[in-house]
Amino acid sequence: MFMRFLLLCAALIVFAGTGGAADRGDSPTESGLFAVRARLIYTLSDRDGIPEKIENGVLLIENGKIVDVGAALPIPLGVRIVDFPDSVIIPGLVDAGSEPVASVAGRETVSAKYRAIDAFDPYAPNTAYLRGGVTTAYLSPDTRRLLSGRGAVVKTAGKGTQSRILDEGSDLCINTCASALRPPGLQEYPLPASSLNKIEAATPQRPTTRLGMFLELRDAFGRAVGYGRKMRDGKITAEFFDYNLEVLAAAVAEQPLLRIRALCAVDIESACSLAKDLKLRAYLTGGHEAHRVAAVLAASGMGVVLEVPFQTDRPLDDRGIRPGAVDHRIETAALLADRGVPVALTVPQLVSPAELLTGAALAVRGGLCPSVALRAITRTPAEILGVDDRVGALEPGKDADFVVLNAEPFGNGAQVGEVFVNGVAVFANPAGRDALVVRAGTLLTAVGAPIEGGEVLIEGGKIKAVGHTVPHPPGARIVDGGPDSVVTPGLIDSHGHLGLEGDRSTPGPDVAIARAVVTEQDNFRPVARAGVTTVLMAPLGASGSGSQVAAIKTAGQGREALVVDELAALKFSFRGKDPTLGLSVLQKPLKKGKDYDAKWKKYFEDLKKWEEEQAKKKKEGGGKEEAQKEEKKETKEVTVEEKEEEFDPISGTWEGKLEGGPLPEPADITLKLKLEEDKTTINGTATAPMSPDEVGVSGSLQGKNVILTVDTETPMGAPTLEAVLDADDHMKGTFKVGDVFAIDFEATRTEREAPVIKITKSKKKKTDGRPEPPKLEPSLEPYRKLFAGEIPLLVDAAGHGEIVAVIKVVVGEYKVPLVILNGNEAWRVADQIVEAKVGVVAALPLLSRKEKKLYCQAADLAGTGISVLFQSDADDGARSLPDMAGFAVRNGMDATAALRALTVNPARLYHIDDRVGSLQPGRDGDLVIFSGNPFDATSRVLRVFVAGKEVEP
Amino acid sequence: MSSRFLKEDGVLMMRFSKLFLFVLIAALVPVLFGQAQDQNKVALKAGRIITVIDDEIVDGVILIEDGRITEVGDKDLEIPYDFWVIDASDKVVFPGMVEAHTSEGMSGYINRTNESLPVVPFTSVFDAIDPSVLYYEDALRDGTTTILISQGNNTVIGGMTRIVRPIGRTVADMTVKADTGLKIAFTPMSGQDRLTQMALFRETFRELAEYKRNMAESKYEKDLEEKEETLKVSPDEAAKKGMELLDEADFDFKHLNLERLVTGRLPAFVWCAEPIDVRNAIKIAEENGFLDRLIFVLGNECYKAIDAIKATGRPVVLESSMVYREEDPLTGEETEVFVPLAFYEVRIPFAITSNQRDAYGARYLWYQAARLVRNGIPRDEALRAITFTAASMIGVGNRLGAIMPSYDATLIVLTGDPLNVGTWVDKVLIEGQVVYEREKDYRLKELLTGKTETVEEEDKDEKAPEEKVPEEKAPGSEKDKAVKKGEKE
Repeated sequence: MFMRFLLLCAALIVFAGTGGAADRGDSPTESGLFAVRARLIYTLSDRDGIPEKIENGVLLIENGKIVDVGAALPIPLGVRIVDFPDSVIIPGLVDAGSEPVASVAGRETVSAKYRAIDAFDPYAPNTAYLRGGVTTAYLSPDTRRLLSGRGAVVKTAGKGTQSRILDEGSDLCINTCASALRPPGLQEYPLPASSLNKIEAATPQRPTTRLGMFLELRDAFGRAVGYGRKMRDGKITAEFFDYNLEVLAAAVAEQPLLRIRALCAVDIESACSLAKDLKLRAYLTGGHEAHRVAAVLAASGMGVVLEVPFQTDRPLDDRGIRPGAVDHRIETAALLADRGVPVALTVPQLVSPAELLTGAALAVRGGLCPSVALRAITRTPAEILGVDDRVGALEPGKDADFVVLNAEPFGNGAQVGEVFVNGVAVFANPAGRDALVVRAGTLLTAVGAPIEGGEVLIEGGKIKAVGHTVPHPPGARIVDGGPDSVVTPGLIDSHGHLGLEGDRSTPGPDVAIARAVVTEQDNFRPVARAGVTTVLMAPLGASGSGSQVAAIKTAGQGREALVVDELAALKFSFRGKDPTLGLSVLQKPLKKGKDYDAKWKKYFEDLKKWEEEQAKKKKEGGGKEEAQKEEKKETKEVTVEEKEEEFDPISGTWEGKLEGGPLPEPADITLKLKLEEDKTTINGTATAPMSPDEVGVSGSLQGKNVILTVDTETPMGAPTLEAVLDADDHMKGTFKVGDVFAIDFEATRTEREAPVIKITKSKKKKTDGRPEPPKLEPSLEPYRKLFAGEIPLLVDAAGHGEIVAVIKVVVGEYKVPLVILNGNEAWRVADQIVEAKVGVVAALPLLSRKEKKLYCQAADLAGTGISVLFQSDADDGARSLPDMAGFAVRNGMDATAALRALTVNPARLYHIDDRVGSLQPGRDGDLVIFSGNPFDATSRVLRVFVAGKEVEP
Repeated sequence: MSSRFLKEDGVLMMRFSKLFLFVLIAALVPVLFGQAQDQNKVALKAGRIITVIDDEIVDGVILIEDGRITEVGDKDLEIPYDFWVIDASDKVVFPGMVEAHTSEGMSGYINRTNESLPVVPFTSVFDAIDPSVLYYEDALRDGTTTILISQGNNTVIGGMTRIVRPIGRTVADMTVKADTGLKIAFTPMSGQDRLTQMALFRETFRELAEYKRNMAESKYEKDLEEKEETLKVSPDEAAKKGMELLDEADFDFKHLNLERLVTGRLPAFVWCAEPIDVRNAIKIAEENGFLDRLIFVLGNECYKAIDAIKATGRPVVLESSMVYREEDPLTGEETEVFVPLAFYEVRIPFAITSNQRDAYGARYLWYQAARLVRNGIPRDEALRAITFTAASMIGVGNRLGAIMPSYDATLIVLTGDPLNVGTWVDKVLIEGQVVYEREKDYRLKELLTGKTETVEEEDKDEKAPEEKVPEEKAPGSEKDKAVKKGEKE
């Protein structure tokens, strides 16, 4: 009952008419102080102490207003900083000439009763404006009728309705265009219509000619003034009441700002004199032919909102030789500005306001000074519209409306990235948020000639384009290194130990060393920041049968991003071995590996042959059906036997689960088992999770223990299942695959009936002669890649005898790719190394002694045409690799060769050149921006990107 | 009584003879069975009573006298001996459902839902309601007993609305409450934009003020003349003094309803299709003094203006589709909003509507309520959105939309829960009279069984009179029938 009482009370309160006045309280914009930093800020301020353009500027914003602006402003501690290090900030654009909000022209050709603010939709997304950086727009009531009503100036985004309205309509819109001519007559319907109260013919409206246009305007203003006077005198009685005139009179009494749309020179001149005669402030819009009457305009002191003639995605209208066609050109803005006429720029009515920047750029083409052009879409229109107290420039006290551009306003590919209104981000370009354009004085692609003044486009972490200019997707981040900067591919350490975390063991060839890398480790960052983005991660030594070497990145999220190649090389050590007797150290594992590889090759050949035969048989047909029949027959026979059986602890269908081990998630297994007459032998089938086919199962029951062997071959041998019958109809145990995996197993018998045992498919296949794969040997698996030529053998050898012996065995005998590690005496056998096309990882230290003289091995070998590589042989010591290369250059190494030794050489020799090592489309977006030549001692690494993401300092 | 027949059939004479028959039976029954049964006293035994504003009652009893509920109780409530008992003890009793705003129920070319003149506050749906349209029959069948008829949305200031029940032969018979509000649209009428729409509002209200001023002035002058005094004040002062002398009778038909609107004597049903219209509506209503009596009739997108609506404290009637979908112009991402939920979350009272042109569930108010529950609105609130909230909003919340003493006995008897898709309306009571019974819904039977017309003809002859006599639901009706048949033969 109490609930009912409450409800009734609530209903009374709500419905009885006590609803309060609507509180359209505007919620405040982002409160609290914060700072915005950018490479360049155009303030467009003319106040003392505020430059028009600030390099590395800071904007301080509080409660949606600008508090301070300047270069190197002290930012209070703890204040949030929004950083745009590569971007340019300009004030939010002001479009003073936007399209009319009315879709239908009103009835009266002269009327002030239509107000554009009525159609201001605070809920509209206004994407067309925001996309182009327009934050303030003029709403026009109509551009077709002679005096069409009152406009409004509003913000295109932001919270609250009232705070977005900058001007609710203190102007009067006049249109002296062809569309204002010959308006339809005014039809009035008396109510109720009768023979006494007749429906009269429509009252015709002026103007019908250009002459009549200004006549009608002067007349209307005269009528309005007269009506206003009568109103004040209280002489307006019921029969004289005219709402239309009353509103116009009120508007005229307010001393409105006249907005006169005039296109041709005659109209512009008439408009000037009209404004002068009416003694009202005025400005022009359209102004296509304003350049012809520039002097008159300049004398009148009126501003012009000039339409720049252009079309974006289709050709302009044909002007042809129509008489009276308007002379419309892009030079007009410049001509007017020269005369001192305040010029605001806008786009033609059919062009999207998103193109305002383009329009201004075209005016620049027409001769307008770029700084004036920028003013013409920000500060000047704000002044003309009378809203410059709030918008148009970035200076203390004004609204924090600004646009973040990715380049200079009229520069190459300048696009709007983000838009802020009242200090709140209201728009971010969704396209190309992921895209990055890196611009530099010189691009060293490592695979071709250097590109002077080039750009690299990275999208989705990959290089999309490289060249003097590249496409700029909308909203792409543009990073400009400056004219002196040099961009190289991410550098590669050809033999390092980063990621091993000091582990000194020498794992065997079956250990995938890449597994040590799971996430970015603490010591990765300094290496990456130094420009080394890829490391060939090798154990300190090497096991007798080789050790795996992996290629990893030095920055990225997760294994997927960090590991470039799990197996990039197989490392051996031949150091200190007898060049003749010790050869077996290499020969033995290689022979073993080759035999293993041969087995697999043979298997695959056989398999292919078999598959071809099968395909042939299938084509011939017949044979298959027979086989099926046979199968059916056998099934039947078995079933008949089964029927005699009684229930026993095993026979029936078992539904089980496999869990743990290498399985990512639990898998189901179904067993159909049958206990044979001897009460120990078990036969049956299993639907195993590894294969979709049913496979045979056989085994025995010993007391409560069930041991089953699955009749299938895996590379690790036949799987076995060992389980205990721990209850009726329930067994539990493990499922083993070779000695490698042990999976927990549990099953319940769902049916006790003796199952029908089908002939397993695998058996059938065996009889078909399908070749069996050889046994999988993890320790020999890397050799298959080696003999396929996919990875090189990295052999540590110092003496020239060792080098020769290694080349003889590896290249001569086994014909696999080879990279010599260290090769301290390589200079002695350089010819043979060149001949064998073997790379050499330069020994450390880089400077040694050769016959008692100082000797730089890297420089020397590079000079003989050998592919030289650089190694750090260290953990995060890899960060000095670029310096080491510079040292080699100072000691006589060719700079190009040095760059290649850090990029394309290792990429090619380790077969990872499809991912890293060069600036080419399709490669990973890894690059380094140097302040100058990468090998100059004075050059710094400015920025490093890995997969398109910047490595933060 | 006799005017609230469900169907029109038979010739006039036939009707008279049947009426006579009924009077005869009514007179005979007490004599024959020695029971003093008053047709105005009904006891409804219900398996479950969903009162909507109070707890549900299992095995309850509703006592009805003279068309009003006098008592609602559980099975312990004693039924006085002279009450006729309608046994619905295996059924669910629910308040008759309320359609808070519709433009159905008017038909034909002449009485289409809109006037082409933009400002017509002097018109009324009274002239367009057609009692014979099938809509009312369907409404009864679906359990809708209270309907606010309003002209369509294509207007500026439209005509008067009216609340009707779906029974009766004339509009007067059908009327529950006349002149319940003025229809106003802020979404531009076709061929017009917001500038013209708003200019028309300003002009209309300004013209009204001028009209009043002139009238007041002349009335003051006349008043002085009668008192044989001379005019000594300025015209403005005269107008001010004359304002107090004005009464409704002075206004001509063009201005009367506008005057009632701006003086807060008439509610306004305000149609807004888009959130911007909500803003304009609030502005105009506030300026002209009818915000306090305003009922929003909203398009789905208007949920965006929910803050402004909440600030006015006014209730809303929502569109039948209830789901708003929007695509991001740049990314093409689609978002979906269940509009009533948005209103529920900020506790704005809302009513939902049905759409008779929908081929599926949106035809039924109960289905619409079920959609509310499906989308996360509590069941109680959903049930009220089609009964009590809606009734309160349109000004009849003190007598309709709930089951409690003193309320009209306008109830529906359902075969199950109102939100269950398998539930049928078994009976409808309007002001205590049974006006619909499913078992005698011949048109529905014909539809469901596909029986031919001849069957209907036969049935009609025999059973049509019974249908019109609510008393038969009282116990002993079988016997009544027998008596009646005997009489007839």
